[in-house]
Amino acid sequence: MLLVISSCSDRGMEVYSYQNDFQDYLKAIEADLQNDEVLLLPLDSCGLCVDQVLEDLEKTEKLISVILSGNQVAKDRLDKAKKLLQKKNLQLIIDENSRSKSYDLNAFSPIIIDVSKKEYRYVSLSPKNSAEFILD
Amino acid sequence: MPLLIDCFKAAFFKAANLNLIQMKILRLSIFLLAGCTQHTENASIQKELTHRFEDEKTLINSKSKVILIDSLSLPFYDYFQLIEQNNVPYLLGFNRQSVSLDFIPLESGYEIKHLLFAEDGPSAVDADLDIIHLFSEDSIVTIQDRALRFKVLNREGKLINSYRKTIRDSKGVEMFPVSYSYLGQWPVFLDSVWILPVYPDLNVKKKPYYERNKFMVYDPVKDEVVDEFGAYPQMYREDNYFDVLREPNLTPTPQGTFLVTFPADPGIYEYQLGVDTVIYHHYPEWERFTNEGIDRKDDMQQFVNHYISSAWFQQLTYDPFRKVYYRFGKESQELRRSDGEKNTAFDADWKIFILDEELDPKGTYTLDANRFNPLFSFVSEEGLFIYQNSRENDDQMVFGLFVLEDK
Repeated sequence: MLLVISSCSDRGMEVYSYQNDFQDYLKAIEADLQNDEVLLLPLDSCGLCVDQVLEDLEKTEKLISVILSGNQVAKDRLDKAKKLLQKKNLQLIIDENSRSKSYDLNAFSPIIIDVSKKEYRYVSLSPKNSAEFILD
Repeated sequence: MPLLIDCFKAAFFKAANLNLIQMKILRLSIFLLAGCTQHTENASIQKELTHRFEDEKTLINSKSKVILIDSLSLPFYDYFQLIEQNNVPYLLGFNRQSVSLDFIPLESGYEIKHLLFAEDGPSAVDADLDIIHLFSEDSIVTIQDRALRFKVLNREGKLINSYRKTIRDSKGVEMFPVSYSYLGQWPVFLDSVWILPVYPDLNVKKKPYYERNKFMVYDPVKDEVVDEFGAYPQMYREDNYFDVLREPNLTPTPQGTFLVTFPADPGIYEYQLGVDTVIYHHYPEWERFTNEGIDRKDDMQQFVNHYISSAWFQQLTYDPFRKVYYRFGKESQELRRSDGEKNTAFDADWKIFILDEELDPKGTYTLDANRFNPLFSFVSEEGLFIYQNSRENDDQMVFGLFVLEDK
């Protein structure tokens, strides 16, 4: 029973074993997180996933820190990402030089990391589960 | 194509530090006798040939070949076919952005043509299409892995017909056709049968996935699989996991046999349709390319680090004009440079091994993979074309042209 409760509360999130690298990465890009949930969003990764996440971010009112990275980004995605600047609930952090590539972050598609507890947890986002984790 | 595969491809491209957008915008007559023997997935190797390396040939990067493209074309295609129309060679690229077939002449003075497909309705073609093949301008076959039928379209992109597609292996397990073309994995279309790379509906991280043959010999008229081959080598069936390094290449030979090569295995497996004997070509000098994979429980990050640092083989391409094969291989390297930054797969030494028709290695060329992208290459009468990353103008598609020379 405890196991069931535990997995429900974690909403399918797993332990993020790259926590140390992630913290080093935050220092490297001088990011000061303001929220309990951090979205790593490589704009040049899995197209379907990124597009869905961008759409859901536009709708959400949740407080999320969003770290945008990516060397080669399609113009329409950049335009969608720029729209997010107007949203006050999102803390947008730009990894201008895609430093994410030099750290082991396991972020080959968008991932959302819960940094509220000592042990971080994360989940990879796809069009199937994006709304569940990004929308309210 | 399944979403997870799409996501994984993206991860793969990112791992290789490729320009994903470019990638996105960015593939003998055999007469089969009815009732021929099917290869079992555990076909035993009955013959082994050991090859020794000789250093007689090399490649010379003779020049850059600039091909002019229009605004509707892409500079990089992950799925393409070489055709000839009125004695003019064309690169036929599947454009996943505009969902079209782009007919790009490889010689100057000829017009680029585009065949735009419908987005909806019976003639619609999905941008994420798995396989497309032009038999003639009025016979363009499209195959989507999970679709129940394959389609035949004409030169206007209109649906001529669709046929039921039932691909099951000898044990009755449904298999889904797919083509990892960016890894050099292509289907082979013969006069009477198609040899399709397939995957089973099984967990790719579990062992049963690797107990199935990789290539189905499919008769589209009878709608049945008439033969199968391409068993995974033992290394794939054990405890380690290879992720995308599991996908083998299929190379037809002028002798009518088929060569199957796996990224993690230095050897070459030679099959003949309807015959159970497999010839294993063994290359002691390539043992350093034997890839040990990662633990099955490891995650994507661990695989990507392994992908960057370990050695593996990629495509095996036959050059009918010079009667040699080119086998591309990536050497191992450190994961990180001395400044702490991560290498990419293209920072490693890439080798092109030249093999003669007997599959004896005759020479090696070291490719600058930061300058030339080995994921987009083909052979023409002029030589071996390998995509060149830099170009001066947007209306150019640029290749390095490599010609075979004696040493």
